[in-house]
Amino acid sequence: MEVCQRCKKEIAIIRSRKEFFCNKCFTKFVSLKQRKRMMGDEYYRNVFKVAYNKDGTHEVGKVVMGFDFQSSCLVALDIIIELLREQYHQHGGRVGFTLDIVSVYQNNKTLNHFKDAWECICSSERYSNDRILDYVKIHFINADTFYHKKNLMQILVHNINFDSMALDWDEKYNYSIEDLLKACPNRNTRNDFWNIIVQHTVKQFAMQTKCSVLIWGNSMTKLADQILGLVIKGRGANIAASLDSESLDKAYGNIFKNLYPMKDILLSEIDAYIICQKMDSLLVDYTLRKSLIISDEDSKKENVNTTLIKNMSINELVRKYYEDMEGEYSNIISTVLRTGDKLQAPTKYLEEGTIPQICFICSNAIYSNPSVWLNSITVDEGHPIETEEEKEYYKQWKESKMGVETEQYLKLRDYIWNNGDAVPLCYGCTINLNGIKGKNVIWPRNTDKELQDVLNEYQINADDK
Amino acid sequence: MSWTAPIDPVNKKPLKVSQLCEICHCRKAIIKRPKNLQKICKECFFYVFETEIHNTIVNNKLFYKGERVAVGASGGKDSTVLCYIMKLLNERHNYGIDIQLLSIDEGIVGYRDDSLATVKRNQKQYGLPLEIVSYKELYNWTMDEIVAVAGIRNSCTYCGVFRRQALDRGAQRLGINHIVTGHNADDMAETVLMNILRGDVARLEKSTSIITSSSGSPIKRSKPFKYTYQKEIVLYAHYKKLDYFSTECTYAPEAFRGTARELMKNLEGIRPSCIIDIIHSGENLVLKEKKKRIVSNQSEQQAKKQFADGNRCERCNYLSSNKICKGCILLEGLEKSRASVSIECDSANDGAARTLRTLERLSF
Repeated sequence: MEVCQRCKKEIAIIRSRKEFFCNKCFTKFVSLKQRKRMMGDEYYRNVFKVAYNKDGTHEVGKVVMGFDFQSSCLVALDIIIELLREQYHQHGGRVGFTLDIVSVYQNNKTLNHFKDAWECICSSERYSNDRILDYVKIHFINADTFYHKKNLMQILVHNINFDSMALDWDEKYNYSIEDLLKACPNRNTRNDFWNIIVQHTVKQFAMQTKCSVLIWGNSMTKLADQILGLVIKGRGANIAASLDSESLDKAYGNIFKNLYPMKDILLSEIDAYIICQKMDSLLVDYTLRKSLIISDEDSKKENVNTTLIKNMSINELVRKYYEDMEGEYSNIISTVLRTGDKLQAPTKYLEEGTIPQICFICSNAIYSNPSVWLNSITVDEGHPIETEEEKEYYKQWKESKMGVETEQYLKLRDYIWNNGDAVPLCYGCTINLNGIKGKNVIWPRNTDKELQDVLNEYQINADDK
Repeated sequence: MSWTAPIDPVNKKPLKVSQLCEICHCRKAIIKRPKNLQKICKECFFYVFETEIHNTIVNNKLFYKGERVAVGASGGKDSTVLCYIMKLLNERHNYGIDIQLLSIDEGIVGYRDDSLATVKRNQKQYGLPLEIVSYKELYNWTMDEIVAVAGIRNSCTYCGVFRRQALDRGAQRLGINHIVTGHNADDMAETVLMNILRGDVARLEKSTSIITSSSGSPIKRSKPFKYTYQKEIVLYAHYKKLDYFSTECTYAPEAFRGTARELMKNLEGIRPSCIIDIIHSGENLVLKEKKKRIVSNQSEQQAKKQFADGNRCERCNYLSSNKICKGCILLEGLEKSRASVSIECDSANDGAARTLRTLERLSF
């Protein structure tokens, strides 16, 4: 039996970063890491702390958090609620900030799961003994609001020069998230689009509510997955922007900053926190990793990912790689994150005095033209037709279903090229579109007003039945 | 050793439309391009493969008319295709360059001697002059001797440092300032991943450079296969019936690189374009500027003296950012471990490759 290396009294139940912890010391260890991120910078300190004016009144900061009912978000929320509780007791019923939680759901089944889980959270002993949840409000947003009542565009990628053009989409044809995800050729593209939509919806909500801080519950492990995932998807130029918590979010009106308070905490530590605090019943569709729990001998066997490699998404494959490497190269996750933190936007590739274009789909900055780059390295013309036999085969192909489909694509392409407008796409989105059958996607032309109208109409609050 | 090119299989059955090439739509597709999974015929494959490399050479202005170029030739698939294609494109597009083959003999019995035999055959097949530089003549060590002293785990460290120097010295001997190597897109992507995974920020920005050179050295290196998939190189060598040596080096590859290679292989299975995507990312990775540290004048001058790009090694005069180059430091360590007495004609140091070749040649 090992003794906790912090308090040197209690029996250790967790081993993390080569150190033994008891339950209480481990909870404190995780909690302090998150609080340090929340209070470390002056901007964030001013939002989170209880600040008094000279006349005795006090400012209340406005904070929004993207919430997916997974372990990282749940732990982040738990530590934030503990902070609110402390402030409430120390400052005679005053708190430094209020928290709006946003959950984006795809269908009614997920919505019901989320609602049930939130009810569990509200009624659990942990939070129901006082009125601290009065300062936390949850909002469930249907992902389909992304398409509702907006001007839709059909964006198409040219099969030879990789340029992209768009044309207004006829309103009489309805389009939904389901249609979009069905058109995706694989899990990667589906996940990519889904993440773009969720992130956009949460950020638009944050912009609409004029909050000062938008919290993302991403653990160190998830951020490291993201960094390597971005590199693998050709989106390396956006790593710096995706980790930026120092500047206001330019794409969403310079209103809030994105904060990653769990950045210094590994996912295995977050899961261990959930187990220590007996919060596992509050999770939705999540398998906890018990690798840090000392008594759990079989934990490694339980955590083996049984998904076939060919069925995994890029981020899942990267996660598997980290897990496989954990024994021999234990600090690989923090190394990747540190490397990501040392990067900046590649603005040096822009012509002097120009500002980067914004990708129509993912809203990321474009620093180099993807079609020019792809054109320079890919040739799509072949050897000419030479013999009579080859001419005959070409004729057969042209009359076949495949030939007709290609003909349809070419007709649509020519129509959009003659009547549409050029739309900027980043490299990652160009590659995604190029993989979709017909090389096109329906996407909304976003305006702030439209989105606010949609949110007002479609957003469901926890109290709504 | 004589070499006979394989014969193409003949199949005269009429083709289905689904079997046709996705570029020309008139010939039978025989290759699925790893780059974009496009099914294409042999003629279109040759055309796109050669044109893409030509475009890379032209877009990046790799050569100038009259330039003398040394092609790093190991006898493996990459360098054999490189020799073939450099000669082909030089004649087809009139680059006006003078090509010479440059090989390094690391001294791995049963591996390098066989691959050098392939290079010598290539020299005759392509009619290009060949220069061989050996570790033994440059450092008085063969790789087999180094592995016997330093162990197999460190073999890549020694070989990597020594080969880089050997190529430069070989080029200098030929009076050539440009070395072309067969590094392909897979190697590039693997290096980008490795540099991120081990946090090697010093190398991160330059890991996808198509031309590399050190200040103070007239010799530059370039990689015309930067955007070419390894699998396409293998297919090209196969369908062009090129004569190459296909055995991997028998000494263990670096353990960490092995894990990155495995990750890449798995990634390719789910996203074939990932190699090119990683290179695209690699080209866009830019480091934040370092915050300037306040240092005293004296220590600043001292630092400048010790770590300047373009410095020369005090012992061998090779380029080095330190007083003594990495090669000399490694050699010093090796010399300390060298046996003071040795047996004449001793083959005990010959590595695993020798045993493997002997076993392969056994017949019962």
